[in-house]
Amino acid sequence: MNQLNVEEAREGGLGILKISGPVNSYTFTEFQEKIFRAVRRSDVVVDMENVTTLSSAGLGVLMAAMEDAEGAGKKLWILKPSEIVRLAIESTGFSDRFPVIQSLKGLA
Amino acid sequence: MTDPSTALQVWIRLPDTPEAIPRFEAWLDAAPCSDPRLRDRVRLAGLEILDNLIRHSSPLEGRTLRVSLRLRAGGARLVFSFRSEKFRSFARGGKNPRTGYNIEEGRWRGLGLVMVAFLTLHVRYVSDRRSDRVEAVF
Repeated sequence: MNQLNVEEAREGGLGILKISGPVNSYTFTEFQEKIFRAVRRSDVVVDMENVTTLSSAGLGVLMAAMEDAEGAGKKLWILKPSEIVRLAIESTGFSDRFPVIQSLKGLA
Repeated sequence: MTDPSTALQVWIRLPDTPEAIPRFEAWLDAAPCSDPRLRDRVRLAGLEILDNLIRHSSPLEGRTLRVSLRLRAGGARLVFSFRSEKFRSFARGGKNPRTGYNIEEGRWRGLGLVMVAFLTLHVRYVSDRRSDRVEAVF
């Protein structure tokens, strides 16, 4: 899968972004636009179960969105990250900045 | 488990364009690596190195680079071979960017280097008469 797919949804007051495919420096633009828009509106969950690669460019977007969310008084969670997403996050040394959840229970 | 005295090696030639990214991933998926964690480490670090070569060392001489992967029990060695004057200049004394959030650019800088350092045992930049190379050991 070489295409990145970003689906937007809402559940209760929560924004949900479902990401599928590789997040790298050639695909992250749509992800960047949608996540920055979402964190300005509400708390956001980013479903990364079907992400096949997460490069430093994609991680940079996630980290910047975390900061934007904090600045706007909002929260951002990562839902069910794939193994490679977990490894990518771990490799930055900033794991504690990425709140990971396994379900939406209790959020929406 | 693979006999440590034996090793498997595969290689591919890639263009110095973004088209190389999905081709590298497909090639890696087909490589005979039975350890998914090792494959993920090679994938993440390899993509960072390849992306940097395409962005910062292109155009490469011949507009291509060769990537080889040598798999041994519990480890791997990934080598990117090419010729690039930009890379030779960098290897002679270029400075790595500091990791941090660049407010003017609105993005993080240097994360890729942090990732590669974590994911590999070591990385070596080599520039000699034979070729320019980035060698990553896992």
